[in-house]
Amino acid sequence: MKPGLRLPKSAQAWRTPDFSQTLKRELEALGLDELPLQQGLSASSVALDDWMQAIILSSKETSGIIHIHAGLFYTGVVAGCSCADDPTPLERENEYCEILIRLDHASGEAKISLAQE
Amino acid sequence: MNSLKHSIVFLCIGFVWLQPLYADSSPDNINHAENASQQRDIDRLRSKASSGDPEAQYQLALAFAQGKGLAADAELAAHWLRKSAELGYAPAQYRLGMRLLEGQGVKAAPAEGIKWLRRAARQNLAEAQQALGLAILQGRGAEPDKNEAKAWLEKAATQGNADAAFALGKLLMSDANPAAARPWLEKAARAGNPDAVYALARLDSAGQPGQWRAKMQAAAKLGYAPAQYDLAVAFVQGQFGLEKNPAQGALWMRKAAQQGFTRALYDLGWLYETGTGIPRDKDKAFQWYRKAASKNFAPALYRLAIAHANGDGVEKNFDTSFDYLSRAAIQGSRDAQYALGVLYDNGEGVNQDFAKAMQWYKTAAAQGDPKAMYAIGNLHANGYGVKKDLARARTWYCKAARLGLPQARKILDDPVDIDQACPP
Repeated sequence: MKPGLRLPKSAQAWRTPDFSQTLKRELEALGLDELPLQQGLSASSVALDDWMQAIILSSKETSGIIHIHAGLFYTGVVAGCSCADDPTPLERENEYCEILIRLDHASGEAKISLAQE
Repeated sequence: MNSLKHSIVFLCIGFVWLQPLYADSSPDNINHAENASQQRDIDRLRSKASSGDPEAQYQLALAFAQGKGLAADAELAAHWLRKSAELGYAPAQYRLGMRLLEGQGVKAAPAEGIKWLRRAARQNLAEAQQALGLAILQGRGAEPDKNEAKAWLEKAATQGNADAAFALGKLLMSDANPAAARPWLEKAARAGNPDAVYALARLDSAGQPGQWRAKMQAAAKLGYAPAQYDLAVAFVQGQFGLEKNPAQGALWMRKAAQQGFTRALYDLGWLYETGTGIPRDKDKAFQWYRKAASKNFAPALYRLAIAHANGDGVEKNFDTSFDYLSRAAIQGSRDAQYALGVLYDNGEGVNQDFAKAMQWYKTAAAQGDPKAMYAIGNLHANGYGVKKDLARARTWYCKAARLGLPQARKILDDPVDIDQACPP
């Protein structure tokens, strides 16, 4: 994951009615580089980030850090033969993982990790 | 004599002690020796394959496919497989057929795949007969033909292919012919096929509870998740002659859930939520609901939507609830479709949108939801999002009333005879 990830609009929207929607939008704009989608795979081997939906499960603030628990619905494909002119279509598998976000209320800096079961 | 004995003992000890000097058995050397031997085998195989030995060609194809003793190469594997198949070697014909059918390592060509499978099947190769039967049944590479599929599956099953016996049993079950299915399922079950044991248990579910229990427990103990789930439900509800034992039910439910069996993930959540057979624990309940929801299981998505709407065991959050509700509706939950219709109809948490409300009500109504039918009637009666049309509204009220919805009957003036009030 990229260092120095920021979710400034979410930090700004904290404690407002727009927080969930804002955070959703910021998360859904992130991709494979910023989110642990690849590590969260369970049914496929290569994560895709084009059809991702974030669901905010819970959020609370302690000592200036907003702790967020979110679920990510996305898809992945099973990497297989990619032989020359093989027309076999790649089938998407539904994937889901949960993440924990530590969002610094003041700076908007965020650290995202895969939630351990 | 004694000195001779000592000399022999000394010589033996000396030999044993000296042995490492002559035969270095370090792992590197063993690997080197193995590699050299493998290389010689490959060289021999190449030579025999090049001179037209179909079995050697087949073995060489496998070596290329698996990268055993040489660099893996899917194209060369297919090349040698084809050579061997063309010389009439049945296992090669079978594997080539499967590759062409599924597009593994070669360009998919299902019709050609069927041709090769047919050749191998005619040589009485059971795996080929089974694969051919299934492919023809599914219409892959050939026109679907149930009778031909049955014939090939029967040939394979008669040779002892348990998967073919199971497939044939299932096929006969789908023809509503359980008597003909049973012997094939039993054959597969005897070979340890858990799907077959499970199918037999389900066959026995009507009228033979003792048989049901024995077979379901056998399939569950074989680790078959659907059987573990059915057994769990039977223990929780006290079915099939089992004494009600929620703790035992929870135990089997957990086993099925741990294998990722979707319904079990959801039901284990319910057992935790209600404290049935296990101590009540809402956090754990929602963890399991979320696992079921992660598989897009509509009842779990809907349950989470309701929980987040009410802050019941989870954080109260309309957006989260709405997200779960939308997913549940898309996954076919009638209740979620109706609920989305209500939100759009009333503009609760979303912009009021009668067109969207109508769309979700109609989706729910198509699944037989009387409340959605009544709501559609209201939209027509009030002209919300559509032209006001009392006749059309009445048609929808009638549909809901026929399903027994009290408010629909009331709006039709509580008719004694619904057929008279609502002519077809």
